[in-house]
This record gives sequence, C-alpha cells and structure tokens, in this order.
Amino acid sequence: MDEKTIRSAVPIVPAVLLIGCILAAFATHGWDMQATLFAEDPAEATKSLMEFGSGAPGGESEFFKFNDVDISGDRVTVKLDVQSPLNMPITVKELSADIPVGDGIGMVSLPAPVTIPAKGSASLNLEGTTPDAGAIPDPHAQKNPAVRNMEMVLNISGIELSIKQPRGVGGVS
Amino acid sequence: MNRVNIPGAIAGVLTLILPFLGAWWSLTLGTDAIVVTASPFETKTIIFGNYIASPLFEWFCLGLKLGVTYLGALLIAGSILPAMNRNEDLAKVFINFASRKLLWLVLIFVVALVIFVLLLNQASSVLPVKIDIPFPYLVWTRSLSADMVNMGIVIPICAKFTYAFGVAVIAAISGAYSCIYQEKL
Repeated sequence: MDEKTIRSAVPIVPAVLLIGCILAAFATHGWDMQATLFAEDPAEATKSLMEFGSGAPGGESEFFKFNDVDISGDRVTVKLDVQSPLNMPITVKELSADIPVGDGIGMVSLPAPVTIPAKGSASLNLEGTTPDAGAIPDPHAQKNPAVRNMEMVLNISGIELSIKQPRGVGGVS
Repeated sequence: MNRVNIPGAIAGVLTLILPFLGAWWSLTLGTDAIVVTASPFETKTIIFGNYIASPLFEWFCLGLKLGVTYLGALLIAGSILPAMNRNEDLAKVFINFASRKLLWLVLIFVVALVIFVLLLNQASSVLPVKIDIPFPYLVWTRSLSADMVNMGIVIPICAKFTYAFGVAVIAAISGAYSCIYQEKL
C-alpha cells in the first residue's frame, strides 16, 4: 500500500467503523426501527413497577395478599404474602396494621425485618395482641376480618419508602 | 530512541486501553436501586435491577470503541516511526490526525453530561421529589427526602467521576501535547 493511499484512508476509517456499526445494529434486528432503538418495550418494563406501587398497601393487588388471620387467646397473627416484581431484594423494615377483633381494634406488626428475594415472594407474619381477649366470645369465629390503617417502611437497595394507608379508607381482607 | 514521540506513545497506550476501563461517570440512587454509568464507549441504565438497553446505542458505542482503539494505534505508530527512520511524513499525518481527537471526545462527553444533568434538574421540578442538583453538577452526594400524600421517600444520591475519566484526561492532554512534541523531533 503506498503512502498516498494510507494518507487518504486515515481519516475515512473511523467514519466507516461508525457507519458500519450503525448498519450492523439495524441488520441484526431485521431493519426494525423500534427493535433497534429499544431492546424491550419501555412501557412494559415500567408497568409492573407502577402496579406494585399503586397496589401497596390496600386495594386490589396481586402483590399483597392476606392469607390467614389467627386469633388464639390474646394473640392475633396475620399472615401476609408479598410478591416482589423487582429484580432486586426488598426489605420490609416495618409493617403495622389495625385489625378488628370482636368489638375492639387490635394492632399487628412485623416483629423483625423481612427480606423479599428478587422476583420472589415471602410470607410476613404480623403479630399483636387483642384489645381485650375477654370481650371476644369465640375468637376463632373471626375469619379474615378486614385489615386497615396499614403502614409500612420498605428499603429497596438504599431507597427508603414509607407508605401509609389513608385513615379509615377501605381495608384488605 | 530519542526520536520517539514519548507523549504520543503514552497517549497511544492509554488510548488503546481506555475503552476497556469501564464507565467514566456514574450516578447512583440508593445503594444500587438506580444506576446510570456513562462513558463514550458504553452507557448503562439499571432501574431496580432491570437493564434498560438500546441496541442502536450499544452498536454506536462499539463503533466509538473501535474508532478510539484505531486512534490509539495511530498514535503509537506515529510516535515510533520517526525512531525507526521510516515514513516520517506518514508519522506526522498519524499524529496530526489522532492527537486532538480524544481531547474533543472528553470535552464533548463533559458538555453532554452537564446538559443531561441540567435537563434532569429541570425535569425534576415537575416531580414530587425535587432533586435540585448542586454546582458543579457532575460530582456530588446528597440525600433527598420528600413527603407526599400517604407516602414518604428518602433517596441517597451520589454522582462521581471514576478513575477511567482521569486516565482519559491524561491520555487527551498527552495526545494534544504529542502534536507540539512532534514538531520538535
């Protein structure tokens, strides 16, 4: 290769490399503009996150499900299944809720932080005491009473999120 | 040996390894809840463990990676050719072409980052959580907290340059100086 050819080729090579790579991007994605611009639909990617946020706490949500309420003596235990749509672990640091027991309202809370694995689920056992055990004639007759006034503190990889169910609004059963 | 363009050779070696050193700048929300890492050779956005990718941008970055590797090879060739008493004119062509390109790349990268951060600052004014990014915009650490209706949020945020950016600056300055040095040879 003579010097003149090299001189003229030197400034052209980077442009050829860049244009070649851009053409390769389209060629490897069937010349489809949207597939080349985005690996996956951005709307789909954010959908699960939005559903998780809007469903917690209270309301109809596939991510939060109260499974079982057990009242024995003066102890109330509520089992809550939480499913995480995120690709990273979530730590439930605090969780408390009010639960109607007999004529009174009992409060249940999470005894210790629980970590929900990435894209996984965890069962949270909320524990508390009944307001007045003597006032309940048959505690086991109370099946799945509505849980309300739920408050929780989540830690998502260093981001701390406190969520509070509006007072007196709805309930989760 | 005394005819080797030493700044050019240093710039060439650093330019060759630069595309493989990773990100030049990173923005982290939480510990790793949202991570944005950027360099001209790769930009990654990871939101809650989901990698947001654009194949077109990745291929474009690959083109830049190859282009910068090519510049590194030209700088090395242009720096050592005079010592071999061969093709001195060609060496000058190589150095003249490759010496200032990395400096421009670094400057464009910094300007683009500043524009991105300022746009982020503007966009945050319509969100419930106002970020209010402090000067000098690209290096800062703070914890944001906001209280909304029935919701509170605390987000530690950290923006910083990595050592790879330092290598890029050294390579860019050495490259620019190699052009002046070449005249003295």
